[in-house]
Amino acid sequence: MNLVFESIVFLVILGIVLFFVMALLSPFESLGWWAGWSKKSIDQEFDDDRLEQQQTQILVHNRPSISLVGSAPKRFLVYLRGIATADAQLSRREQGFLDHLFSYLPNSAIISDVFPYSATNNPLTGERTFARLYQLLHNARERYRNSLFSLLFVLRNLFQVAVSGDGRYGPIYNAGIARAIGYSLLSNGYTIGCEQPIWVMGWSGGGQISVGSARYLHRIFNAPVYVVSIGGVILDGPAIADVEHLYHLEGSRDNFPRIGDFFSPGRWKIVKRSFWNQAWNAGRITVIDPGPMKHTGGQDYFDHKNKLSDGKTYAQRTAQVIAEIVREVES
Amino acid sequence: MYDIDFSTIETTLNSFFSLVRGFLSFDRAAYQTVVNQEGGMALALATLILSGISLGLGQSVVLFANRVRRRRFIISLLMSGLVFLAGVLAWSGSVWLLSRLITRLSIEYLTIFTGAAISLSPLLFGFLVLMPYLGNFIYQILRIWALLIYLVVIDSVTGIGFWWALSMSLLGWILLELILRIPALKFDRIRNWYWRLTTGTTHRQEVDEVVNRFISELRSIVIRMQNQKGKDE
Repeated sequence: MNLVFESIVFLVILGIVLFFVMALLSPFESLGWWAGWSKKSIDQEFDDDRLEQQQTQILVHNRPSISLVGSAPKRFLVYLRGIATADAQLSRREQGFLDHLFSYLPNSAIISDVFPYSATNNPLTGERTFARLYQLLHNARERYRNSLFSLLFVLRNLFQVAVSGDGRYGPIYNAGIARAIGYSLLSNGYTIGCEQPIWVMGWSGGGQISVGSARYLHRIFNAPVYVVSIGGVILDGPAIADVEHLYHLEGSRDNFPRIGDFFSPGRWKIVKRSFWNQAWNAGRITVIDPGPMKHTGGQDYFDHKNKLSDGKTYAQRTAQVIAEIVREVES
Repeated sequence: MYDIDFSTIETTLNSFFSLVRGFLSFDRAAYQTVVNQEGGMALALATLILSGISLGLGQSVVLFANRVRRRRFIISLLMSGLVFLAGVLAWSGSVWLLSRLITRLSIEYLTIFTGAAISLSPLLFGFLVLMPYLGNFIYQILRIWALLIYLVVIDSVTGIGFWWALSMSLLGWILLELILRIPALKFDRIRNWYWRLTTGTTHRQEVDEVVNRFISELRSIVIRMQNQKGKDE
């Protein structure tokens, strides 16, 4: 009995230590990139010629993982994945959702090749020291669904969401994500100066990163940036001031977005002068209930099996609501 | 009382950690040990310098933002311990001066300095300020903890009372800030000189400043590329 108790105590302590270590180390990826300490150094990008060469290559060679691009796209939508992800590769459910969205908005470029939980757009299984470990963990969670392995990915990425929302690290992190999105937009034919709106859609933690990066996307392209948060967790911060309009989709059975309400004092009603409340009072935030969606698992925003009373799947409904928002803004 | 034993590394570490536990738990005996036992002051100074280094690590984002090299980063962190010590020496001087002028109490400078050195021991956890989003909140908690230790120590040693101790420490901080802002003393130059010396960069820039410049550079490059593409077509 004693041994069991001691083992449990040991595991709990180990978990707490691991939690703190992960939290403390979380800002270093983006900081190391910025300071030029990592292989993915920012050095090259400060050198105009090299950056130009690099970007030209991206303009010439379209990346293979772009999901959907219509001919002469009328609008550009960027999709950022949720916090349980290890890379930018879409799940079948997400791909299905984007297919529906594309069918509602055919003349669009829908981009999904940005991994939002790395300022350098570097997937966890990409070019990094612990890539093999992440690959092993990723394989393990594929085998054992809803296990502790998934929790590790969620925690790791959740801390990156916190980095994005932190006033000290956020500017660096969000600039990195905006740069990655910018590359993708250019490589898909986005023309600078056309003032074509940019739509950034983020699921779960991707909501915060959508808002954070919108600030710099707006400044790089001088174009209006609209954000669609799909059950997003969003923290208060100055970035919201650069968002043309935030549409926050919150399913009636999704309590996850309330983490943002709770942990971000700037989102409390009593803090009247916060960035969030200023945007809210200016009417630049709209909360939409798309239906009885949960945050994740069955009957969530991307569920392509279960159907609602009107015969549409949950994924179809989510896509339909977003398409209606886009059309309304464009009309 | 606490035992201080520097005979081996293990006993030195034991002495250090037990004394720090005493500081953190408002134990008056820990203060008495620092004042009365040989080696006590050395451990208090070590605590102060390590607190400065730990807090320096917690607030190191500015070094990263200014793209300080690894070697310089380590030098800056080590130096932050000494700068922290200098800051506490100056602040203690300011409080001592005010206590002389206002209360006419004959509190010794060393008493105030020792109290300050001990009370700042919560900042040994200053590295936790690194934590995203919660870092600033943790920093405020550590500062309040440090202030409470200081007030308890000063009150118990001098008997001037909690509110007098609080008033003196706050007024001492205000006086020091005012002194540092006197243009004739040119403290800005000293700060800039120190920054250049430790980091190897020309001047300190804030995070927003460097990021905005990066974004402007990206924008101008992209515009140039687009113009070039237009000409080619």
